[in-house]
Amino acid sequence: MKCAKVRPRLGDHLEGDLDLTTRARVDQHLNDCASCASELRELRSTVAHIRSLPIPDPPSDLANDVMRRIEAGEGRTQPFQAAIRRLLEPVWVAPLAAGIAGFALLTSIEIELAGPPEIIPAAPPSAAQFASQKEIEMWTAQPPTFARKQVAGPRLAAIERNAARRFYRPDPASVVAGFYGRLDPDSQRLDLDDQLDRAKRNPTAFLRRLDAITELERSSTIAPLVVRSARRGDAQALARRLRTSAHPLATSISAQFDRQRREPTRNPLVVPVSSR
Amino acid sequence: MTTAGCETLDSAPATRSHTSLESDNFRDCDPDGELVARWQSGDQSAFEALIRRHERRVFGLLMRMLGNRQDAEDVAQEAFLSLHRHGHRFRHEARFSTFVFRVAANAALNRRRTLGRKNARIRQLKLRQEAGIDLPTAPRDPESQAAGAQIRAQVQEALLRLPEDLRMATVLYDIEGLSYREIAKVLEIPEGTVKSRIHRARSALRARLKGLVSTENKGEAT
Repeated sequence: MKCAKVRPRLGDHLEGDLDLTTRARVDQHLNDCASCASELRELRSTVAHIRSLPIPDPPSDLANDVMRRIEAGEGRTQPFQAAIRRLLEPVWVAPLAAGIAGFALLTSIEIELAGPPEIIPAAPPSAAQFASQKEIEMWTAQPPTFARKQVAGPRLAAIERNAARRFYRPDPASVVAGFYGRLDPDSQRLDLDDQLDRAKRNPTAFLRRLDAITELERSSTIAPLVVRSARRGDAQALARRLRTSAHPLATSISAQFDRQRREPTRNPLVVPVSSR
Repeated sequence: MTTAGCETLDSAPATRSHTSLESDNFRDCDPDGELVARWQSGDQSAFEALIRRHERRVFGLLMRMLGNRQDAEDVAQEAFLSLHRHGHRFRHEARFSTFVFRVAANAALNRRRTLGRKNARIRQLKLRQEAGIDLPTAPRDPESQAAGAQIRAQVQEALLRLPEDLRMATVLYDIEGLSYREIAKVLEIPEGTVKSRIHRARSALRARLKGLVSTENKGEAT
Protein backbone atom coordinates (compact mmCIF):
# COMPACT_ATOMS: atom_id res chain seq x y z
CA MET A 1 0.00 0.00 0.00
CA LYS A 2 1.29 3.46 -0.90
CA CYS A 3 1.30 6.58 1.28
CA ALA A 4 -1.40 8.20 -0.86
CA LYS A 5 -3.77 5.33 -0.04
CA VAL A 6 -2.76 5.04 3.61
CA ARG A 7 -3.10 8.68 4.67
CA PRO A 8 -6.85 9.06 3.99
CA ARG A 9 -7.37 5.93 6.09
CA LEU A 10 -5.46 7.08 9.16
CA GLY A 11 -8.57 8.63 10.70
CA ASP A 12 -10.47 5.35 10.43
CA HIS A 13 -7.42 3.50 11.70
CA LEU A 14 -7.40 5.71 14.77
CA GLU A 15 -11.06 4.96 15.48
CA GLY A 16 -10.72 1.22 14.81
CA ASP A 17 -13.12 1.54 11.90
CA LEU A 18 -11.00 -0.32 9.30
CA ASP A 19 -11.82 -3.87 8.35
CA LEU A 20 -9.19 -6.40 9.41
CA THR A 21 -7.63 -6.86 5.97
CA THR A 22 -7.21 -3.15 5.32
CA ARG A 23 -5.96 -2.58 8.84
CA ALA A 24 -3.29 -5.25 8.40
CA ARG A 25 -2.14 -3.64 5.15
CA VAL A 26 -2.07 -0.17 6.72
CA ASP A 27 -0.16 -1.49 9.73
CA GLN A 28 2.37 -3.09 7.43
CA HIS A 29 2.87 0.21 5.64
CA LEU A 30 3.20 2.05 8.96
CA ASN A 31 6.02 -0.30 9.98
CA ASP A 32 7.96 0.66 6.88
CA CYS A 33 7.05 4.34 6.51
CA ALA A 34 8.28 6.73 9.20
CA SER A 35 6.41 9.66 7.69
CA CYS A 36 2.95 8.02 7.84
CA ALA A 37 3.68 6.58 11.28
CA SER A 38 4.60 10.03 12.46
CA GLU A 39 1.38 11.46 11.00
CA LEU A 40 -0.66 8.85 12.84
CA ARG A 41 1.08 9.67 16.14
CA GLU A 42 0.44 13.37 15.61
CA LEU A 43 -3.22 12.73 14.85
CA ARG A 44 -3.51 10.62 17.98
CA SER A 45 -1.86 13.34 20.01
CA THR A 46 -4.20 15.97 18.50
CA VAL A 47 -7.26 13.93 19.43
CA ALA A 48 -5.93 13.46 22.94
CA HIS A 49 -5.55 17.20 23.32
CA ILE A 50 -9.07 17.91 22.10
CA ARG A 51 -10.53 15.28 24.39
CA SER A 52 -8.61 16.61 27.38
CA LEU A 53 -10.24 20.02 27.14
CA PRO A 54 -12.15 20.46 30.40
CA ILE A 55 -15.94 20.63 30.31
CA PRO A 56 -16.76 23.89 32.06
CA ASP A 57 -19.41 24.09 34.76
CA PRO A 58 -22.58 25.84 33.64
CA PRO A 59 -23.67 28.91 35.60
CA SER A 60 -25.37 27.78 38.81
CA ASP A 61 -28.50 29.83 38.12
CA LEU A 62 -29.01 28.83 34.48
CA ALA A 63 -32.13 26.72 35.14
CA ASN A 64 -33.59 29.37 37.47
CA ASP A 65 -33.00 32.13 34.93
CA VAL A 66 -34.63 30.14 32.15
CA MET A 67 -37.64 29.29 34.33
CA ARG A 68 -38.01 32.95 35.31
CA ARG A 69 -38.06 33.96 31.66
CA ILE A 70 -40.62 31.26 30.91
CA GLU A 71 -42.81 32.57 33.72
CA ALA A 72 -42.42 36.05 32.25
CA GLY A 73 -43.98 34.75 29.05
CA GLU A 74 -40.94 33.96 26.91
CA GLY A 75 -41.57 30.24 26.75
CA ARG A 76 -44.31 28.41 24.92
CA THR A 77 -47.72 29.95 25.39
CA GLN A 78 -50.89 27.90 25.71
CA PRO A 79 -52.95 27.79 22.49
CA PHE A 80 -55.65 30.19 23.76
CA GLN A 81 -53.00 32.65 24.97
CA ALA A 82 -51.31 32.49 21.57
CA ALA A 83 -54.65 33.15 19.85
CA ILE A 84 -55.30 36.20 22.02
CA ARG A 85 -51.77 37.43 21.44
CA ARG A 86 -52.22 37.07 17.68
CA LEU A 87 -55.45 39.05 17.81
CA LEU A 88 -53.68 41.85 19.66
CA GLU A 89 -50.80 42.05 17.24
CA PRO A 90 -50.36 45.54 15.76
CA VAL A 91 -50.66 44.06 12.31
CA TRP A 92 -54.39 43.72 13.05
CA VAL A 93 -54.74 46.73 15.27
CA ALA A 94 -53.24 49.28 12.91
CA PRO A 95 -55.49 48.75 9.86
CA LEU A 96 -58.49 48.47 12.16
CA ALA A 97 -57.73 51.78 13.83
CA ALA A 98 -56.88 53.40 10.53
CA GLY A 99 -60.33 52.38 9.34
CA ILE A 100 -61.84 53.92 12.43
CA ALA A 101 -59.79 57.06 11.87
CA GLY A 102 -61.05 57.26 8.33
CA PHE A 103 -64.59 56.74 9.51
CA ALA A 104 -64.13 59.52 12.07
CA LEU A 105 -62.87 61.84 9.37
CA LEU A 106 -65.77 61.15 7.06
CA THR A 107 -68.45 61.49 9.69
CA SER A 108 -66.75 64.08 11.90
CA ILE A 109 -67.54 61.86 14.85
CA GLU A 110 -65.02 61.70 17.67
CA ILE A 111 -64.36 58.08 18.46
CA GLU A 112 -62.29 57.08 21.39
CA LEU A 113 -61.33 53.48 21.78
CA ALA A 114 -61.65 52.00 25.23
CA GLY A 115 -58.78 53.18 27.35
CA PRO A 116 -57.98 55.34 30.32
CA PRO A 117 -58.99 58.93 29.59
CA GLU A 118 -55.64 60.29 30.69
CA ILE A 119 -53.97 58.60 27.73
CA ILE A 120 -56.30 60.02 25.10
CA PRO A 121 -55.90 63.76 24.59
CA ALA A 122 -58.79 65.68 26.10
CA ALA A 123 -59.11 68.28 23.35
CA PRO A 124 -60.21 67.09 19.92
CA PRO A 125 -57.58 67.73 17.28
CA SER A 126 -58.15 70.55 14.84
CA ALA A 127 -59.09 69.79 11.26
CA ALA A 128 -55.60 70.80 10.13
CA GLN A 129 -54.13 68.06 12.29
CA PHE A 130 -56.14 65.39 10.58
CA ALA A 131 -54.70 63.59 7.62
CA SER A 132 -56.88 62.46 4.78
CA GLN A 133 -58.25 58.95 4.79
CA LYS A 134 -56.22 58.16 1.72
CA GLU A 135 -53.05 59.24 3.42
CA ILE A 136 -53.81 57.16 6.48
CA GLU A 137 -54.48 54.15 4.30
CA MET A 138 -51.18 54.70 2.58
CA TRP A 139 -49.47 54.98 5.93
CA THR A 140 -50.93 51.71 7.11
CA ALA A 141 -50.18 49.94 3.85
CA GLN A 142 -46.57 51.03 3.51
CA PRO A 143 -43.66 51.43 5.83
CA PRO A 144 -43.37 55.04 6.99
CA THR A 145 -39.94 55.35 5.40
CA PHE A 146 -41.49 54.64 2.00
CA ALA A 147 -44.54 56.77 2.67
CA ARG A 148 -42.29 59.67 3.59
CA LYS A 149 -41.07 59.89 0.02
CA GLN A 150 -44.60 60.70 -1.05
CA VAL A 151 -45.78 62.86 1.83
CA ALA A 152 -44.14 66.00 3.14
CA GLY A 153 -42.67 65.96 6.67
CA PRO A 154 -45.33 67.89 8.62
CA ARG A 155 -48.04 66.01 6.77
CA LEU A 156 -46.44 62.70 7.73
CA ALA A 157 -46.39 63.79 11.35
CA ALA A 158 -50.10 64.51 11.11
CA ILE A 159 -50.74 61.09 9.63
CA GLU A 160 -48.77 59.36 12.32
CA ARG A 161 -50.42 61.37 15.03
CA ASN A 162 -53.89 60.63 13.74
CA ALA A 163 -53.52 57.06 12.69
CA ALA A 164 -51.56 56.08 15.74
CA ARG A 165 -51.34 58.33 18.73
CA ARG A 166 -54.89 59.55 18.55
CA PHE A 167 -56.47 56.14 18.50
CA TYR A 168 -54.14 53.82 20.29
CA ARG A 169 -53.01 52.60 23.52
CA PRO A 170 -50.67 51.66 24.96
CA ASP A 171 -48.53 53.66 22.59
CA PRO A 172 -48.21 54.56 18.92
CA ALA A 173 -44.65 53.33 19.02
CA SER A 174 -45.95 49.79 19.17
CA VAL A 175 -47.82 50.37 15.92
CA VAL A 176 -44.76 51.63 14.12
CA ALA A 177 -42.69 48.89 15.70
CA GLY A 178 -45.19 46.40 14.34
CA PHE A 179 -44.72 47.77 10.86
CA TYR A 180 -41.02 47.63 11.22
CA GLY A 181 -41.29 44.06 12.42
CA ARG A 182 -39.42 44.96 15.54
CA LEU A 183 -42.08 44.58 18.19
CA ASP A 184 -41.18 41.10 19.29
CA PRO A 185 -37.58 41.17 20.47
CA ASP A 186 -37.30 37.40 20.15
CA SER A 187 -38.49 37.11 16.60
CA GLN A 188 -36.01 39.76 15.58
CA ARG A 189 -33.37 38.74 18.08
CA LEU A 190 -30.61 38.45 15.55
CA ASP A 191 -31.17 41.89 14.09
CA LEU A 192 -31.43 43.40 17.54
CA ASP A 193 -28.21 41.79 18.64
CA ASP A 194 -26.53 43.07 15.55
CA GLN A 195 -27.81 46.59 16.16
CA LEU A 196 -26.74 46.51 19.78
CA ASP A 197 -23.29 45.30 18.85
CA ARG A 198 -23.01 48.07 16.28
CA ALA A 199 -24.09 50.58 18.91
CA LYS A 200 -21.34 49.33 21.17
CA ARG A 201 -18.74 49.50 18.46
CA ASN A 202 -19.67 52.95 17.24
CA PRO A 203 -22.10 54.77 19.55
CA THR A 204 -21.94 58.05 17.61
CA ALA A 205 -22.92 56.41 14.32
CA PHE A 206 -25.77 54.65 16.13
CA LEU A 207 -27.02 57.93 17.63
CA ARG A 208 -26.65 59.70 14.31
CA ARG A 209 -28.88 57.08 12.69
CA LEU A 210 -31.46 57.58 15.43
CA ASP A 211 -31.24 61.32 14.94
CA ALA A 212 -32.14 60.96 11.28
CA ILE A 213 -35.57 59.43 11.89
CA THR A 214 -38.76 60.87 13.37
CA GLU A 215 -39.35 60.87 17.11
CA LEU A 216 -42.06 58.26 16.69
CA GLU A 217 -39.78 55.97 14.72
CA ARG A 218 -37.03 56.54 17.25
CA SER A 219 -39.12 55.44 20.20
CA SER A 220 -40.19 52.34 18.30
CA THR A 221 -36.60 51.55 17.47
CA ILE A 222 -35.24 52.04 20.95
CA ALA A 223 -37.91 50.11 22.84
CA PRO A 224 -37.11 46.58 21.66
CA LEU A 225 -33.40 47.33 21.78
CA VAL A 226 -33.43 48.27 25.46
CA VAL A 227 -35.53 45.20 26.30
CA ARG A 228 -33.16 42.96 24.43
CA SER A 229 -30.14 44.59 25.95
CA ALA A 230 -31.55 44.20 29.48
CA ARG A 231 -32.13 40.52 28.73
CA ARG A 232 -28.60 40.10 27.46
CA GLY A 233 -27.37 41.82 30.58
CA ASP A 234 -25.36 44.51 28.85
CA ALA A 235 -27.76 47.45 29.19
CA GLN A 236 -25.48 49.17 31.68
CA ALA A 237 -22.41 48.64 29.51
CA LEU A 238 -24.30 50.04 26.54
CA ALA A 239 -25.51 53.05 28.49
CA ARG A 240 -21.94 53.73 29.55
CA ARG A 241 -20.67 53.32 26.00
CA LEU A 242 -23.34 55.65 24.59
CA ARG A 243 -22.44 58.31 27.14
CA THR A 244 -18.93 58.43 25.71
CA SER A 245 -20.37 60.01 22.57
CA ALA A 246 -20.68 63.77 22.25
CA HIS A 247 -23.87 63.44 20.20
CA PRO A 248 -26.81 65.47 21.62
CA LEU A 249 -28.93 62.31 21.92
CA ALA A 250 -26.30 60.49 23.99
CA THR A 251 -27.70 61.37 27.41
CA SER A 252 -31.35 60.69 26.71
CA ILE A 253 -30.77 57.39 24.88
CA SER A 254 -28.28 56.06 27.42
CA ALA A 255 -30.77 56.95 30.17
CA GLN A 256 -33.30 54.64 28.53
CA PHE A 257 -30.87 51.71 28.66
CA ASP A 258 -30.09 52.53 32.29
CA ARG A 259 -33.76 52.73 33.20
CA GLN A 260 -34.48 49.37 31.58
CA ARG A 261 -31.61 47.80 33.49
CA ARG A 262 -33.00 49.08 36.78
CA GLU A 263 -36.57 48.04 35.96
CA PRO A 264 -36.27 45.00 33.69
CA THR A 265 -40.01 44.25 33.88
CA ARG A 266 -40.97 47.70 32.61
CA ASN A 267 -42.50 47.76 29.14
CA PRO A 268 -40.79 50.61 27.31
CA LEU A 269 -43.51 50.59 24.67
CA VAL A 270 -45.88 52.00 27.26
CA VAL A 271 -44.89 55.62 27.59
CA PRO A 272 -45.97 57.26 30.85
CA VAL A 273 -48.57 59.99 30.35
CA SER A 274 -46.36 62.63 31.93
CA SER A 275 -43.62 62.12 29.37
CA ARG A 276 -45.89 62.64 26.34
CA MET B 1 -28.14 -0.82 30.67
CA THR B 2 -29.36 -0.02 27.22
CA THR B 3 -32.52 -1.43 25.78
CA ALA B 4 -32.21 -3.01 22.35
CA GLY B 5 -32.88 -0.46 19.66
CA CYS B 6 -31.93 2.41 21.91
CA GLU B 7 -28.85 4.36 21.11
CA THR B 8 -27.12 5.87 24.07
CA LEU B 9 -25.56 9.28 24.38
CA ASP B 10 -23.64 8.15 27.41
CA SER B 11 -21.57 5.43 25.77
CA ALA B 12 -17.82 5.85 25.87
CA PRO B 13 -16.01 7.06 22.77
CA ALA B 14 -14.32 3.69 22.37
CA THR B 15 -17.61 1.87 21.88
CA ARG B 16 -19.86 4.51 20.46
CA SER B 17 -19.13 3.95 16.81
CA HIS B 18 -20.46 0.42 17.14
CA THR B 19 -23.81 1.33 18.62
CA SER B 20 -26.71 0.06 16.58
CA LEU B 21 -30.02 1.64 15.89
CA GLU B 22 -32.66 -0.88 15.04
CA SER B 23 -35.75 1.04 16.00
CA ASP B 24 -36.74 4.62 15.46
CA ASN B 25 -39.09 4.78 18.39
CA PHE B 26 -37.32 5.90 21.55
CA ARG B 27 -40.36 6.45 23.70
CA ASP B 28 -39.77 3.40 25.88
CA CYS B 29 -36.05 3.58 26.32
CA ASP B 30 -35.37 7.28 26.56
CA PRO B 31 -34.15 8.09 30.07
CA ASP B 32 -35.85 11.47 29.70
CA GLY B 33 -39.10 9.92 28.51
CA GLU B 34 -40.98 10.24 31.78
CA LEU B 35 -39.93 13.85 32.38
CA VAL B 36 -40.75 14.78 28.80
CA ALA B 37 -44.21 13.22 29.11
CA ARG B 38 -44.86 15.12 32.35
CA TRP B 39 -43.69 18.36 30.81
CA GLN B 40 -45.75 17.86 27.67
CA SER B 41 -48.79 17.36 29.85
CA GLY B 42 -48.18 20.71 31.51
CA ASP B 43 -45.81 20.08 34.44
CA GLN B 44 -43.28 22.93 34.32
CA SER B 45 -41.17 21.47 37.14
CA ALA B 46 -40.43 18.55 34.79
CA PHE B 47 -39.00 21.01 32.28
CA GLU B 48 -36.80 22.53 34.97
CA ALA B 49 -35.56 19.02 35.81
CA LEU B 50 -34.78 18.48 32.11
CA ILE B 51 -32.75 21.69 32.02
CA ARG B 52 -30.75 20.62 35.06
CA ARG B 53 -30.12 17.23 33.49
CA HIS B 54 -28.81 18.62 30.21
CA GLU B 55 -27.37 22.02 31.12
CA ARG B 56 -23.84 20.78 31.62
CA ARG B 57 -23.49 19.19 28.20
CA VAL B 58 -25.31 21.98 26.43
CA PHE B 59 -23.14 24.57 28.12
CA GLY B 60 -20.00 22.57 27.32
CA LEU B 61 -20.95 22.44 23.64
CA LEU B 62 -21.67 26.17 23.54
CA MET B 63 -18.44 27.06 25.34
CA ARG B 64 -16.39 25.11 22.83
CA MET B 65 -18.35 26.48 19.88
CA LEU B 66 -18.46 30.12 20.93
CA GLY B 67 -15.21 30.40 22.85
CA ASN B 68 -16.34 32.53 25.76
CA ARG B 69 -18.51 32.18 28.80
CA GLN B 70 -20.69 35.22 28.31
CA ASP B 71 -21.92 34.17 24.87
CA ALA B 72 -22.29 30.57 25.99
CA GLU B 73 -24.49 31.61 28.93
CA ASP B 74 -26.63 33.82 26.75
CA VAL B 75 -27.08 31.23 24.02
CA ALA B 76 -27.70 28.45 26.58
CA GLN B 77 -30.66 30.42 27.94
CA GLU B 78 -31.95 31.07 24.43
CA ALA B 79 -31.54 27.40 23.52
CA PHE B 80 -33.57 26.21 26.51
CA LEU B 81 -36.25 28.82 25.84
CA SER B 82 -36.39 27.69 22.23
CA LEU B 83 -36.66 24.11 23.48
CA HIS B 84 -39.60 25.16 25.65
CA ARG B 85 -41.29 26.82 22.69
CA HIS B 86 -40.79 23.98 20.25
CA GLY B 87 -40.52 20.95 22.53
CA HIS B 88 -44.20 20.09 22.13
CA ARG B 89 -43.30 19.02 18.59
CA PHE B 90 -40.93 16.38 19.95
CA ARG B 91 -42.37 13.00 18.94
CA HIS B 92 -39.75 10.54 20.20
CA GLU B 93 -38.26 9.90 16.75
CA ALA B 94 -34.92 10.14 18.54
CA ARG B 95 -33.80 10.49 22.10
CA PHE B 96 -34.77 13.72 23.78
CA SER B 97 -31.08 14.45 24.39
CA THR B 98 -30.51 14.37 20.61
CA PHE B 99 -33.31 16.89 20.22
CA VAL B 100 -31.71 19.07 22.92
CA PHE B 101 -28.35 18.95 21.15
CA ARG B 102 -30.01 19.85 17.86
CA VAL B 103 -31.60 22.92 19.39
CA ALA B 104 -28.35 23.92 21.09
CA ALA B 105 -26.29 23.33 17.95
CA ASN B 106 -28.66 25.48 15.90
CA ALA B 107 -28.56 28.21 18.54
CA ALA B 108 -24.76 28.17 18.47
CA LEU B 109 -24.59 28.25 14.67
CA ASN B 110 -27.16 31.06 14.51
CA ARG B 111 -25.19 33.07 17.01
CA ARG B 112 -21.97 32.55 15.10
CA ARG B 113 -23.59 33.57 11.82
CA THR B 114 -25.05 36.66 13.39
CA LEU B 115 -21.86 37.81 14.90
CA GLY B 116 -19.75 36.82 11.91
CA ARG B 117 -16.76 37.84 13.90
CA LYS B 118 -14.59 34.82 14.21
CA ASN B 119 -11.45 36.88 14.32
CA ALA B 120 -12.86 39.21 16.93
CA ARG B 121 -13.74 36.19 19.04
CA ILE B 122 -10.23 34.89 18.83
CA ARG B 123 -8.81 38.25 19.79
CA GLN B 124 -11.26 38.40 22.67
CA LEU B 125 -10.28 34.92 23.75
CA LYS B 126 -6.65 35.91 23.74
CA LEU B 127 -7.38 38.96 25.83
CA ARG B 128 -9.38 36.93 28.30
CA GLN B 129 -6.68 34.33 28.53
CA GLU B 130 -4.06 36.98 29.07
CA ALA B 131 -6.25 38.39 31.80
CA GLY B 132 -6.57 34.90 33.29
CA ILE B 133 -10.38 34.95 33.04
CA ASP B 134 -11.01 31.83 31.01
CA LEU B 135 -8.15 29.73 32.23
CA PRO B 136 -9.23 26.20 32.95
CA THR B 137 -8.80 25.02 36.52
CA ALA B 138 -6.28 22.80 38.10
CA PRO B 139 -2.95 21.09 38.10
CA ARG B 140 -0.81 20.70 41.16
CA ASP B 141 2.20 22.97 40.79
CA PRO B 142 2.15 26.47 39.32
CA GLU B 143 4.59 25.62 36.55
CA SER B 144 2.59 22.71 35.17
CA GLN B 145 -0.56 24.69 35.77
CA ALA B 146 0.71 27.47 33.54
CA ALA B 147 1.95 25.00 30.92
CA GLY B 148 -1.31 23.04 30.97
CA ALA B 149 -3.38 26.20 30.68
CA GLN B 150 -1.25 27.40 27.81
CA ILE B 151 -1.68 24.15 25.92
CA ARG B 152 -5.43 24.13 26.48
CA ALA B 153 -5.65 27.74 25.34
CA GLN B 154 -3.71 26.79 22.22
CA VAL B 155 -6.05 23.87 21.51
CA GLN B 156 -9.15 25.99 22.12
CA GLU B 157 -7.85 28.69 19.83
CA ALA B 158 -7.12 26.14 17.11
CA LEU B 159 -10.68 24.84 17.53
CA LEU B 160 -12.11 28.33 17.17
CA ARG B 161 -10.21 28.85 13.95
CA LEU B 162 -11.84 25.82 12.33
CA PRO B 163 -14.78 26.40 10.00
CA GLU B 164 -17.89 26.06 12.14
CA ASP B 165 -19.24 22.92 10.44
CA LEU B 166 -15.97 21.08 11.11
CA ARG B 167 -15.76 22.46 14.64
CA MET B 168 -19.31 21.41 15.47
CA ALA B 169 -18.68 17.86 14.28
CA THR B 170 -15.46 17.43 16.23
CA VAL B 171 -16.83 19.06 19.40
CA LEU B 172 -19.87 16.75 19.35
CA TYR B 173 -17.69 13.71 18.71
CA ASP B 174 -14.52 14.26 20.67
CA ILE B 175 -15.73 16.45 23.53
CA GLU B 176 -19.41 15.58 23.94
CA GLY B 177 -18.85 11.93 23.06
CA LEU B 178 -21.71 11.46 20.58
CA SER B 179 -21.58 8.72 17.97
CA TYR B 180 -21.49 9.37 14.23
CA ARG B 181 -25.14 8.38 14.03
CA GLU B 182 -26.19 10.67 16.84
CA ILE B 183 -24.31 13.58 15.29
CA ALA B 184 -25.96 12.83 11.95
CA LYS B 185 -29.34 13.12 13.67
CA VAL B 186 -28.39 16.28 15.57
CA LEU B 187 -27.03 18.07 12.50
CA GLU B 188 -29.44 16.40 10.08
CA ILE B 189 -26.69 15.39 7.68
CA PRO B 190 -25.59 11.94 6.41
CA GLU B 191 -23.28 9.88 8.62
CA GLY B 192 -20.64 9.83 5.89
CA THR B 193 -20.55 13.62 5.99
CA VAL B 194 -20.16 13.57 9.76
CA LYS B 195 -17.22 11.22 9.49
CA SER B 196 -15.53 13.22 6.79
CA ARG B 197 -15.99 16.46 8.73
CA ILE B 198 -14.43 14.94 11.82
CA HIS B 199 -11.44 13.68 9.83
CA ARG B 200 -11.00 17.03 8.10
CA ALA B 201 -11.25 18.83 11.42
CA ARG B 202 -8.58 16.62 12.93
CA SER B 203 -6.24 17.08 10.01
CA ALA B 204 -6.69 20.85 10.20
CA LEU B 205 -6.15 20.82 13.96
CA ARG B 206 -3.06 18.69 13.58
CA ALA B 207 -1.67 21.23 11.13
CA ARG B 208 -2.49 24.11 13.48
CA LEU B 209 -1.04 22.36 16.51
CA LYS B 210 1.97 21.15 14.57
CA GLY B 211 4.48 22.67 16.98
CA LEU B 212 2.82 21.03 19.96
CA VAL B 213 2.09 17.57 18.62
CA SER B 214 5.29 17.12 16.64
CA THR B 215 7.36 17.87 19.77
CA GLU B 216 5.41 15.27 21.71
CA ASN B 217 5.69 12.92 18.79
CA LYS B 218 9.49 13.21 18.79
CA GLY B 219 9.55 12.53 22.52
CA GLU B 220 7.30 9.52 22.04
CA ALA B 221 9.27 8.16 19.08
CA THR B 222 12.62 8.29 20.87
